[in-house]
Amino acid sequence: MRRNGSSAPAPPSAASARVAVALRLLVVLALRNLLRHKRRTLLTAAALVFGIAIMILGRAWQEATSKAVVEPAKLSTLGHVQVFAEDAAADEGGEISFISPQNNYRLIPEPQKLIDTVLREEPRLSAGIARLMVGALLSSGDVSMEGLLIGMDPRARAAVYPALELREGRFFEPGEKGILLNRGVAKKLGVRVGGSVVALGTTADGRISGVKLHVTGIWRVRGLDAYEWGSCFTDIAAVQELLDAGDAAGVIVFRQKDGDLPSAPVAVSVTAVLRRNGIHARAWTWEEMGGPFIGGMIVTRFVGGILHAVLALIAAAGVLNTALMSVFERTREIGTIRAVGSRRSRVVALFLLEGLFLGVAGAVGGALLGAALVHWFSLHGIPAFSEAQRYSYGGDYLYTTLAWGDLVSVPVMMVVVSVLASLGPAVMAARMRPADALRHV
Amino acid sequence: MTLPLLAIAFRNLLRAKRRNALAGGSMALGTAALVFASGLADGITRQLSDNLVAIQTGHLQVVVRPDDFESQNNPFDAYGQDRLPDAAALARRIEEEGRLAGVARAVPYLFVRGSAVAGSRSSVAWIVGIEPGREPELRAAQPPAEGVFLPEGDLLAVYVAEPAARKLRVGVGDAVSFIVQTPQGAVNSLDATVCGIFRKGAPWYDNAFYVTLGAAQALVDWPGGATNVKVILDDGSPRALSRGRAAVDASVAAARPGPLAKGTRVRVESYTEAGRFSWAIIQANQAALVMLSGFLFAAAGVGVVNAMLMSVRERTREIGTMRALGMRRSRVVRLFVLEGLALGIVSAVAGALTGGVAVLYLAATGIPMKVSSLAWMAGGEVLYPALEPSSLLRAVLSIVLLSTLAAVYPAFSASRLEPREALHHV
Repeated sequence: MRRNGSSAPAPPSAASARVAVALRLLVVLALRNLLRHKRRTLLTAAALVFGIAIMILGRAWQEATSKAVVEPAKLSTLGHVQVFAEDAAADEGGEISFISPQNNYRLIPEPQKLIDTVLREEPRLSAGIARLMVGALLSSGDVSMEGLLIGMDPRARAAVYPALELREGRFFEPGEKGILLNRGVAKKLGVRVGGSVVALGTTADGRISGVKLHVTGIWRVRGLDAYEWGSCFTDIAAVQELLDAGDAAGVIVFRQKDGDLPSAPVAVSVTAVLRRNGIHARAWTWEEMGGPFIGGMIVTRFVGGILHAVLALIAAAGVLNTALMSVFERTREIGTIRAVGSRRSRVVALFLLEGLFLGVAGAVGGALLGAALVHWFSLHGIPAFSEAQRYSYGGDYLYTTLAWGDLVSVPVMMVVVSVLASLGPAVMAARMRPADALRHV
Repeated sequence: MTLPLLAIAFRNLLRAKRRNALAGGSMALGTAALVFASGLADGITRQLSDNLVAIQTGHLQVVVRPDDFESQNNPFDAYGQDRLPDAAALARRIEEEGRLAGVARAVPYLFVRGSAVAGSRSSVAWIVGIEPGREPELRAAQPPAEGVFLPEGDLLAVYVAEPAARKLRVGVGDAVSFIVQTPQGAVNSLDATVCGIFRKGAPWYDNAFYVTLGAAQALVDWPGGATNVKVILDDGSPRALSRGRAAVDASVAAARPGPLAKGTRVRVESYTEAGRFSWAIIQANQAALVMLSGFLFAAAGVGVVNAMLMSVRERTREIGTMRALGMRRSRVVRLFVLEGLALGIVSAVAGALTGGVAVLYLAATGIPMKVSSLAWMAGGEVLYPALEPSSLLRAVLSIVLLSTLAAVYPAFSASRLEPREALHHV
């Protein structure tokens, strides 16, 4: 190319024009080839459409089940990020365990200061609540039972635990030493709203202590009866008094502004904030702190991942089959193309384009069908056909929601998969020697 | 008649190697994934139910419940809270009378919640009084990591869970005191010496303290009483369970344990009824598996139908020839369905072998459940997947069935071809 000629013709644009012509030719050829075997193309595309639609529906189902269990749990006990003292696990066999209340020896002093610091420096969090749990002997009259007291700060309750609802009564106010009983405990103790219970505990130095608590309500979490257990919510101040712990919390639970964002990076950043400010505490995610049902969800997600990969491979096998058939059928044609001077790369491009078109057709159709299915089930619900499903759906029906992410990511992935699946046959076609190919019957 | 056709079907599979390898490979992969997923679910089921049977409920348990008992859905529901009088005699009677009905052993135990104190530290305590010599299952499920299992007849010994020992900072030989409130309202205490510490298992046994039945009875002032009678059967199949249950029911009815606290009655519960909490986890996992495999089947089915339709298309001339030579339509249908069957059998077996080997490998090494929520779910810190023959069979049969059914439509479309036109086809 000359450097100085302003009037020079533009060879690059000429070249690109040539490429454009060649590309157009390839596209036309690829489309013609696909249309030549209408039925086969249709079958393969249909298989892709169904495969993609099923994958989208499968993901929507999985999302919906985990939401049905996880959302209420997050918004009533787990929060998104939990902060424990750095050495909290030292007394717990190296592991902080969900519902285990016994890390009372490793508390976080001045919880409100920690909350303010974290909220100031981590904009992804919206609110935090200090909690202190203890196993205590609850008694009323001559009935008594071992129960779990979850002390929480009443001022932050609404912001962090919106899913905590009442069967009856009202939430307690700061300073009144209120308690929200669980249905079973209320029944066992024979106490109603307006009554009172006495909690007996042991202070950190081994003394027995007692606090009188006023029952202001009976709590529940909709769709998550399993989380009720034997626990009762009370004012953190009452638990602090019971343990003679001063202004300290066992755990601080934070809620994210956007609950759908992954919590792991937030937890990492909160730990960094704590370290920067010289606070000896560490953040954990709700996934790590969740109970068996969260564990079950993690396993389901893992198994679901495997099955989705298998689905993708099955769909890829269909495309591969079609591409191979098309290569074998067109051996002579490929020979001719090569004999008249077509480059190998062009043959590869031709077959890849066929795979691409097939993939795109399947992806568009699949996305549409998948969206339609998910939409239908979001209106009519997927029925629960066993007790266990009713349990994990939180009702008789599970309503799916359309996730735009899946609607795009699954089809795009399948387009890539079908192009990749046709890569092998394309290279195979390009490797043919024209002479042999022409002789082929 | 069918046999030679089946032979032809198998031969046809080999003729179109590439296509059948792809369709079969898809199904084999599907089978392997299915077997693997069931291996995980079955491993969880086995661990949770084994724990439940060995540690809490036996296969069947006799327990006193309030008339309006409602399961609270927590892991400690199985433990009774009211007194079952003369439990040792009742257990002996169940064991003797039920021997022919498959009862291997019946042992009483007494469960009481309280606090454990050591030095200046305290912990919630699930105190369980047992007859140590007659608890081989418990011993196997919670073997000693340090020291020894609870010695028979030692009223001052306590066998502690490792997390609880850590929390109290006690080792073998150290003293622990228990404080409980008896149902009569008195506060009693017991001083004991740690004889052994057992390895951490399912997190919900983290606060377990085992003492001898006699010591626990003294602690709560219940001479001869217990809360549960744990009945271990020779095997845990549903059939054995119902047979054993009839025998236990009869013994309980004849023994008529009493006097009971007001508003309570004796119940016989199977481990699935008593351990509703574990059972809910098991069922939720199994239900998720069913749904996921449903999606897998649908996709694999589409793939197989696709492959079969292609096969019909490719062999139009051949079908024409067969029909021209006088083969009936019904036989053409059968041939194609049998091809589907043959393909299904070959790929399901291959897939089951692959998936089975993966499960067996992991069953030998175990999958660590590092995160606490996973340990809760799997009932232990390591998950050992299990290869249940029934799950294996279910996976294989369902894939074979799927493959066969998927061949039905293509088979009919093949049989509808007119011989004359089919022969013309290129």
